Amino acid sequence: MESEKVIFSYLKSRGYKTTEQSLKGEVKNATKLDLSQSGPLPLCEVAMDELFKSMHDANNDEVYIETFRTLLEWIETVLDTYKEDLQKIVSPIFQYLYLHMINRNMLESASVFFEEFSQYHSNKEELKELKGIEKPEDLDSEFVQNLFSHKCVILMNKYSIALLMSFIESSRLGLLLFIINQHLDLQASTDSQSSVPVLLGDDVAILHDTSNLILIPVIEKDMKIFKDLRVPFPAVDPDLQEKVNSEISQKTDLSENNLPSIICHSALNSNNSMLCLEISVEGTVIAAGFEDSSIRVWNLLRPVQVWKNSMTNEEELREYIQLIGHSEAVFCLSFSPNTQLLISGSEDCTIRLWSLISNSCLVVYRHHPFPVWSVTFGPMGHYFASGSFDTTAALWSTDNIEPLKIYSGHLSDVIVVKFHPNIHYLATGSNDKTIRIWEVASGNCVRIFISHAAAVTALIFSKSGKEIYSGDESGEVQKIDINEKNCISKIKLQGRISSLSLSQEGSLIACGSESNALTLANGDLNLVKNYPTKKIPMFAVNFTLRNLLVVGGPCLLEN
Amino acid sequence: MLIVFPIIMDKKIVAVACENLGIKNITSDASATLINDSEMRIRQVIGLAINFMKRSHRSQLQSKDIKRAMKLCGLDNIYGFPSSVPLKYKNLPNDEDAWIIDDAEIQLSEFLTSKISPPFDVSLHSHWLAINGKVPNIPENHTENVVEEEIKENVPNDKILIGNVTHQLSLQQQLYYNTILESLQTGKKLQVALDSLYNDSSITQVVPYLARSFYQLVFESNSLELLDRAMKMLGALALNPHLNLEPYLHQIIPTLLSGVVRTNLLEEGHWVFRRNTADIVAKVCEKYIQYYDDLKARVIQLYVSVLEDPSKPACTHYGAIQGINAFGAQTVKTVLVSLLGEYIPHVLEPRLRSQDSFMWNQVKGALIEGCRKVVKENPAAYSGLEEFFGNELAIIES
Repeated sequence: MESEKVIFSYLKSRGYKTTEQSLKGEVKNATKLDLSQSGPLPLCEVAMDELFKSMHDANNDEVYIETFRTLLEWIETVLDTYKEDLQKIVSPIFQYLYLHMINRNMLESASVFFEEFSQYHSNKEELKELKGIEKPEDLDSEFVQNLFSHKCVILMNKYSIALLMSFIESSRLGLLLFIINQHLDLQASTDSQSSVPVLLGDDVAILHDTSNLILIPVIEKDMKIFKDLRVPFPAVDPDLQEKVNSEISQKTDLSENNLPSIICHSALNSNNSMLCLEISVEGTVIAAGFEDSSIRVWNLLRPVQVWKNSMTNEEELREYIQLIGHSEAVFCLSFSPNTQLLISGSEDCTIRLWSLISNSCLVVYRHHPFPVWSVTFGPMGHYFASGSFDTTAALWSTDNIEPLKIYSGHLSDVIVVKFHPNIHYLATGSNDKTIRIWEVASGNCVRIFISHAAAVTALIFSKSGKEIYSGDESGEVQKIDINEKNCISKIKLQGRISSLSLSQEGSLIACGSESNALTLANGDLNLVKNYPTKKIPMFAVNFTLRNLLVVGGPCLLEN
Repeated sequence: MLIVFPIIMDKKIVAVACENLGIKNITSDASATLINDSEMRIRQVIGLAINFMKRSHRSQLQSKDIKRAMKLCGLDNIYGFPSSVPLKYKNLPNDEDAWIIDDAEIQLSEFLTSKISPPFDVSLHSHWLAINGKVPNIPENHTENVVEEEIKENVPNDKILIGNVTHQLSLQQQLYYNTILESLQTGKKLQVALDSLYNDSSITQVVPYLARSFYQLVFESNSLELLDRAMKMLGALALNPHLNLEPYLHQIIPTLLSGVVRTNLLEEGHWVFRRNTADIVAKVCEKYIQYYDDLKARVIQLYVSVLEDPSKPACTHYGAIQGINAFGAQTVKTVLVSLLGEYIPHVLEPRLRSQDSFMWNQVKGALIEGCRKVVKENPAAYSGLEEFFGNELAIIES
């Protein structure tokens, strides 16, 4: 056994002859025992072996930097599911490595180490403290003593721990093992989902950024207030503006005591093949994306439509128009504000623009290398944004086949994208449990919100533009103040939140959940009323300009 | 030296897979490495599949999610796992570890001759989930808690203006109506139509049209086949547990009764038809007795008036007796048995000796059938009934 050899050589070098003799005797006896029965023995063996090696290595400056770099590189390659878990150990490992370097008086390389990797430390306060420690004498401080006397408890998935151990074993990072054994207490948690999202690199700085965003909720042509960040905009269609104004003037005022009327559209016989549903601004046109790659569009003002079969060139009467073009399932749809255009994102990695006047495909946008989860039109049309499995969001204009901007930074898929009412900001919600706000023009991430404990699946900006409502997979809806960066209020509902919509005056918010219920809450997220449906998961909820609530989903009742 | 992984997969799987590929004597190190790797890949595929499931707004993982995930990982497609139906697995009888798909066995010959209808197309159905915040009491909504609230709120509102409600049938409903009528006329897909009429909760709006059509048709037609279908359909509709046809009973009950006691229907099989229809009438009366207390009484009164009129033909008498029989032993005892004293000597017996004695024998048969029900319930009544039928009652009884 290697570990024994190391011990023997150590004893020999120190001249402990009696100890060596007695150990030899013990080893002989021990090997007679059946060692194969004890399960975790191999791990111990590695541990011993590596530990001794690390003691030897520990005086080498390079090892520290190399170890940490290897760890970071490895974490990058791990499956997404476990990446999050493993990133939790990065900060503590960083700080203990640093302190050990100081302890061993490797001051020069310690400062190099700190410079290079301090961005991977997630706690700003601790980082400040660490920076203050530059000499071995500084280690007497209370902060350091605390770190050394207490083990840092980290909850991890069982499998993540196994992955980490096998990595350490295979890459022979004895130093890392030493640090983990000495200072970390890795506990296997039964709950595989960790609750706090992980941030890397510059994200920490963004989290603590104190600059204010300009959140006025209106679009005007020459908004000088935005300076360089102004998004150029084509002329606003006066007809559309007039139409919107006349619609809004007819709205009913809603409040907690004056609840809206709700129309529920359910797709019968969809047989679980309907993947998404979208309701137009006026609530009169409904589009649904299907697994068979088609999109069906119902126009409630025209119950029977002439549909031309492109295969046979025959015209037939149908209740809906079928848009065929994608080659895989359609996961997301969005209407332009004037309901003349429809964009769709699909598993085939393309985004298509459809005209609802000619019922044909106008443009195919190819950029994302992976399925597109979310598309959304800007508040006045022209621009739209997409979010994809490839962890990026992209900004497009309808007249350009290349994306104008790519917003990259999320650690996992972008599930939902939404424009700020003034179009200068874009919000994205991701599987990594964070919400990010991007400056549309510069492409910079300007806000990260980490208050959700599950993947963010729905977003909507408040009417004032100052807050954002967000819904997550666990059914929690939060109201977050964008400039103050804190969660103002939250409400816990049932099931994944698929869609959110605010009434025109912002007094009520409708939360569609996939557990067959629609919930109305007031602007501060106090429950107003719950409307359960019979096996209709809510795919889309939408307050029309007149404050009629239109909701929809497939009807999953078995016949 | 190996790390002990929390492995779900069994090492045997690797051995089996290697054997399949023609690799024998795989070393334990190699198999351990392989199992680690395959475990990692399976976790990757499942992780991706769950992602696809969530983006499809579903909470149940389906084989198509796995298929998509595998495609994303660049793996080959695996065929033969349809996702519309959840697969059921069962153990092989003599091996606990082996699982096979529990497929139903289909007789090819039957399958080829059976008619396969294409699945229904997707259609959009719209309903009010709330009107000014209140949930309307319609079948599409959960209304358990709503009804009382509605009533309370509506009481002080004694002036409710109800405008002229015109409702238009949607294209789908019109299609449904036409299909039902076609099935009625031709007998095509009768069973499907009956199932739908009996089970569908969403046909409320078509009901008035159907009720009227049946009503007209039954009084115009004299074809037994058609009438039989019409009665079955009407029965299914009236007995649909999701519908309340109380407003249409004035059309439905006469239509059904006309089937039972029709005078001009003598095609072969009309006896059975009358009897079946009588059963339907009884069931419908049973269901709607909560709305009209005297519904059953009025129907029985009609039957009795038939029996008291000797000028009616034998088939009508037969229908009336079966109609009473259908209400059960208690009704037979109170209504029919008390009539027998008059009926048998003065109406039945003279006609049994006449030319159409064959038909009146059927009437007698119906009487005996009714009395049999009474005797079955209360054997003591046998002696009282014996004087009318003598041995015949006993023979049938045994």
